[in-house]
Amino acid sequence: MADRSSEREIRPADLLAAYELGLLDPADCARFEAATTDDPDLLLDLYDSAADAQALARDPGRFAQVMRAALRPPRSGLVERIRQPFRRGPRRWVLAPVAAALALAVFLLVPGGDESLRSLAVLEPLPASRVEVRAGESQAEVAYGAALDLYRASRWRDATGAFQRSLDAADATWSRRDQARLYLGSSLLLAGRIEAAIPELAAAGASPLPPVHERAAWQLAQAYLLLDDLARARETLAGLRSSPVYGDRAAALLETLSARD
Amino acid sequence: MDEPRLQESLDQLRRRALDGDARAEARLFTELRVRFLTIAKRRVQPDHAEDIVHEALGIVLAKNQDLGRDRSILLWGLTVLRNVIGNHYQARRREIAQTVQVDDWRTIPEAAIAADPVDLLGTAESAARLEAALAELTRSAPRCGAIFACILESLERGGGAREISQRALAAVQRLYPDLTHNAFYVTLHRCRARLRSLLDESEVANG
Repeated sequence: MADRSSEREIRPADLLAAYELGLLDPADCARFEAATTDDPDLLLDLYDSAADAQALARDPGRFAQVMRAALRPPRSGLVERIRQPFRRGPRRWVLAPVAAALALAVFLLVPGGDESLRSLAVLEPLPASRVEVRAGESQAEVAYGAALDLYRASRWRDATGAFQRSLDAADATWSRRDQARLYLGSSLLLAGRIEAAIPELAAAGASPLPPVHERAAWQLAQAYLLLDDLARARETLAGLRSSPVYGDRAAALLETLSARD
Repeated sequence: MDEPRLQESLDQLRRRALDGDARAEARLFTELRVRFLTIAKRRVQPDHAEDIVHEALGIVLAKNQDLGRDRSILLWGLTVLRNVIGNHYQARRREIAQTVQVDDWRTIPEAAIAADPVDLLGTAESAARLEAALAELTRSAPRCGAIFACILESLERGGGAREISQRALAAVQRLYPDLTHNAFYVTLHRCRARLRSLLDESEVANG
């Protein structure tokens, strides 16, 4: 155990994650808890994530297993890069044929192999939670819920049709329009219909919600790479540099693109 | 008159309360009330805040004995509060639906049944969301993934806070020898921020 006496005192706010996971000794716990009375934002942060923190602490084995699977070193190569996102799902045996088909589709699309700009594209499904559709909800909402189920099952072609149906059924005030266009664009991209994906992703990219427009921009950049459109891919990736989620990956991809100049 | 600043943790206070110390119990609920009220004032209309805090504290008091001694009372209490606030909003929506749009049958199903405030640990859906976010974190920030994995594996093996923390730190230091104890906590905090960001993103699909 490291000796902490020589270390600079840590700010209570920096103890938040350790507190949530039950790692702190009673003295640090007391120091952190005292800070929650002085700092309402710190307390709200704790409040907002309390349920997730408790879920982690109550069943760590379940989540450790997920982490171990995700930490396995990936093999290099295009097929591996395409398959890797699918491996994260629990139903690998269902997804394997889809991944193989997709890999094949991209090989057909990318005759140049690893020398092509297109080989840098990272094709991966977006995280998508199940939507609970209650009786009496709008047609658009019902179709959107069904479309997300298809998307989660990696049925990209079917998902494409279902997302389109949700958009067709929606009125102008439907709150999930941007999300539906994001997932429609993503489904088209993953189904290999890259040119059709672009307008949908571009439209979702105009969403005021950062998580929607950042995801759309990331997938849009991949679409441009697949189309060998270096200028647009760069421009789109550059817009993601400040993203807390995609910033590192966008910067790495931009660096790779620069190295190829 | 203001209480003097608490010198022990809320969980230490709770353990004394469970052992029959009435003053410790009173102080514990005073401390919880202060924090609950801060949140309630920011999450609901001010004239409802006291009622909500009162309800949440009542549930915590009723269930306190049943909660394991090693559980964090503050984290658990905040989850109770969150569910009480959620139920408050559902009740409000139901009220509006029934009074304003009672002739519109489509609004009635939206008057959802209130969640059990003690059903704390969420649904299978939220666990799946958490799994997906952790996997994504590992892929996009391998160092964060490794740190979380070490901690979860240590939690899985069990023990007290000190033992879990030391074991997790030792595992992390095998991967990152230069990481000091405090730097471990700070890095963990930053990794948590990334995880929260991924979780927020995953909620986007649900609006």
